[in-house]
Parts: sequence; structure tokens; C-alpha cells
Amino acid sequence: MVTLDSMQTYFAKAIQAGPRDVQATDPAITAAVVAGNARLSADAQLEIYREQFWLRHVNALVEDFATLHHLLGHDGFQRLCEDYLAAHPPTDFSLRDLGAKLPAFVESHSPYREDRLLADCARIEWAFVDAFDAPDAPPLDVSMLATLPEESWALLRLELHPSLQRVSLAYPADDLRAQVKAGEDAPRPEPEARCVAVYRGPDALQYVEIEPLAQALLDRLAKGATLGAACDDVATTEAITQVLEAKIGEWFQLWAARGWISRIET
Amino acid sequence: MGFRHRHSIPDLGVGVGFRVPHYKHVLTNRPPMDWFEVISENFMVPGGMPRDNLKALCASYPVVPHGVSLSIGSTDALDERYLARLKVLVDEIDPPWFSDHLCWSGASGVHLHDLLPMPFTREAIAHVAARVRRTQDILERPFALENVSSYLTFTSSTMPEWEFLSEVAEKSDCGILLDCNNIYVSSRNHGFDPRAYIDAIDPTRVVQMHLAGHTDKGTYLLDTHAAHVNEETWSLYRRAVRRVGRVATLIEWDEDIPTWDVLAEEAARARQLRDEATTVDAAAVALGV
Repeated sequence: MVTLDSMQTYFAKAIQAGPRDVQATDPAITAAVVAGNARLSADAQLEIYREQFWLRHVNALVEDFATLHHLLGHDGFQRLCEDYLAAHPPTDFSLRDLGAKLPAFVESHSPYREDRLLADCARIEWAFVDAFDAPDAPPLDVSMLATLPEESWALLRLELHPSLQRVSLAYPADDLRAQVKAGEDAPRPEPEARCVAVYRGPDALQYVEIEPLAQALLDRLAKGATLGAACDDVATTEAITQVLEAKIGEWFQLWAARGWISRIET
Repeated sequence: MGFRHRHSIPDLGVGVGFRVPHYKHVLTNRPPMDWFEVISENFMVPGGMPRDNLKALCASYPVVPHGVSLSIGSTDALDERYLARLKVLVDEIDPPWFSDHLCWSGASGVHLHDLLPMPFTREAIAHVAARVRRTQDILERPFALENVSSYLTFTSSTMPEWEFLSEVAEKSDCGILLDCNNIYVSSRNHGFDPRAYIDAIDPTRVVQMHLAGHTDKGTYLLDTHAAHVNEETWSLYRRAVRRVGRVATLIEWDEDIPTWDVLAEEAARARQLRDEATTVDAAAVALGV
């Protein structure tokens, strides 16, 4: 007897099967479970659901990783999806999180890992996904900065806005993403290391290149370090210390104005 | 007293799905529309524009959340994390009911993100009914199950779909979201009389109806929500309204989404047909025919 549980287990395995997964179904079992009709065999009916599974999941990934899709072409991207979903079948109720592990997958699996631009694209595109619906947080009242006594600055802890994502890139994948999104000609770029911040502006998602030192500082502040400890940690040479001293005030104002700082603990 | 009356389910009129291409127009111009349905999962996120848009929509229109991921028929355990997040959303919207589909969407921990068909068996009825009761207990408000389009039937089924839906609704004491397009699509795919489906449903349990278009794939019809409602589905809707009365009706259009004006015209047609069907009935009662 075919129980509800055994039917669903078989059916689920069958419709997740990629084109290279030839062992996923057994026509005899399918015929015993699925009725079929005069127009479509049991196998053909099951195939409708398999097609829809792949269409839906590949489309969701194309939507979130349009630049990666552009670079690989549709067939290449489809193959990436098959590899990725075989390693990480969807387990969350929402398609929103389907691509959460794709950047790490591209970075660590051959043949994708051999091309750093692919990983850069995946990481910057996922940063936009995370920034889009990250929790809300009220922006910092910038006027309170003026009231802080100078001696308290080193002990400040900053709460960064949850939408702020920081990505280190070996290629200008942020610009490539913008070109693809705008439907412009988007040739493969030359390597060019940069740090990019993605965040939620008042009306739309924004991205901006930031200095590597600023990124290092933000990363430490995000982990809960005080401003003083974070500065000490990144200032590994006298030259860096001088740059920090010259720029920290300007950065702080800029971060606050962009809404990157939600709260300050004194 | 029937489910609809017991829960004081209001007739919200005729609405449409709240979809991205129309966000700006709807939230800026507030065009006339009786109500909106939102896909629950699209708004079960921590923050950002989805939440802002939902708040703005709720400030101007009645809104009902409609889920696609409850997976009420799955033999996997009910996803309590999903239900907790759904409850937050539903409490925030405070709708007169919420809905999802009579289907399963995952097995063995994998979520397939589809509305997969159930076998129409006693085992499945008992299984789904218990889970619907649990869902209603957690959400603490009326719940409606929608019939889905299907492209296959199971050898194990022992009854027609309408009997299965009716028994699940009866045993779990939930409402029914009657999707006329899904009835039509399945009737064509499986060769049954769609009128028999409409005629078999307990009218007092129907809290809402769906109308949508589909795509003819040659050997089967696919429920795509990518076209106008076809004439056969309008005809089924007329039959359903005459049987059920005036209940909230929604036009679904999710692919090849048309301009707002086209969508609003489709809703206006449903409104007119609904008015005509119920007026004819009222006149017949008055004349004693």
C-alpha cells in the first residue's frame, strides 16, 4: 500500500531530479502511484511538476544573481543551479533564502572557484538581497555627536544599521552588476580590488566604494569593539595611524549622514 | 449556523492581488479597489520596503494574507517557525480570515515551493484536518483552504476532489477559498464536470473566491495566472455566486502582469457579474420562481 508519506518521499525525490540524475525515478513505481490518462502517461504528468520545480528555482536564482547569470550564460547558470541545488536542496519555506549559500558554493566548488569574478558577483548580489529586507532601525540623531565629550569617543560602541553590508572584491563586480541591471553592454571587467558598502537609503538600495581601512574599522565596530579598540586594532603601522587620525572624523560624519549608524553606546 | 456566519466573515467585494508593478500606482494614487490580497511569504521579512509597502497598503484598503508555503498536507512536521512568523504578520494585518492551499509543498525536510496535489484518501483527510485545527489554534482566527490546480491524480484516491475538500473543511472546521480557475483547469486535465464540483461544495463554508487565467499547453492546462479569466471560468464563477452568494472575490494575475487599468477592468467585470447573479436570484425569490 502506498502511504501518504511514501508517496510524498518518492514524488519529492522525482521532481528534484536534475537532467543528469537519471536514477531518480522508476517508471514502474511512478505508474503504481500516478494514474496517468489518455493524453499523458504517469511519467509525463510527473515531468510537469519536475519542469516547474526547476523553472521556479532557477528563475528565483536568476532574479537574485542576474550578473552571475550574465557571465555564465543561461546554460552555464542552469548547470550551476543544478550543482548548487544538489548540494543545498531548498529547505526554507521562502524562496528569498534560496541563494544564501550560493556565494560560498561558487567560492569553493570547481569549476566556479577558478574564476574569482564569479564569487565577487555572487557576494555583491547577495549583499543587495540582504540589505533589501534587513530589519529596520531608527537612524542616529546626528546632533548628539556634538554633545559627546572628547574623552568619551574612544569608549564608544556603535550599532550599525542592519542593512549595511560590506564586501571586499577583487573585481569591480558592483559596477558590472549596475550595468547588467540597466541592460547596458556589460563586458567582463579587468581585476580591480575594492571595498563596497551596500545599504538601504531613504528610497532605494545604495552602494558606494569605501576605503579598505574604513571597511576594516566598520568590520570591527560591527563585532562590538569600542571605537578606540577598533582603531588600535587596524592601526598596525605609524602611517596607518596618521591616516586614521586624519580621516576618522570625516568618516564618522559620513557614516552617520548615510544612516549607517543606528545607535551609539557611551 | 454556517462557517461564514459563525465567524462574521464580511463580503469585502472584488479585489486584486497586490503585485510589484502596481505598488507605486496603488500607494501613490490610491485607486478605487475594494480590497487587496497579499502573498504572506513576501512580507514575512524583518524590515525594509516590503514592510513599509504593506503598512501603507493596510492604511488605505482591507488586506487579506494568502500563503503559499504552509504545506498543510505534508507528512513533515508543521513548521512552527513558519507559523510563528505568519502569526506576527496576520496579527499585524488583522484580517477577517487568512488562507493557504490544500496541498503539500515539501517532504523529508526539502521545500519544493509548489502546490503539490494530495491523494484523495481517508488517510489524507485525517492528516490534513488535524493540521488545519492546529494552525487555526495557533493563528487564532478563521482559516480558509484553497483548492489547487493539478496535473495528475493518484491511483490511491478513493473519492472525487470536491468530496475530499468538503470533508477536510468539515472535519477541521475551516473555511473554503473556492478557486474557479483551478476547478476549471483540473476539470480539463482530469476530465470531470466542473459544475459538479461547484454544486457539491457547502456554500456556507466559502469565504472567498479566486479568479485567474491559465495557459493551454496542448496536452494539459497550466495554472499560470498569466492571462484574462476565460469564458468558461466566468461561467463557473456565475454558478458559484448563485450558489454561495456574495463573498469576497479576487482576481489573481501573477505573470505577464497587465497595466492597472486592465486589471481593474477584470475586477469590474467580476463585480458586475456578481451583482447580476445575485440580483437575478433575488428577483427569482421575489417572484416565487
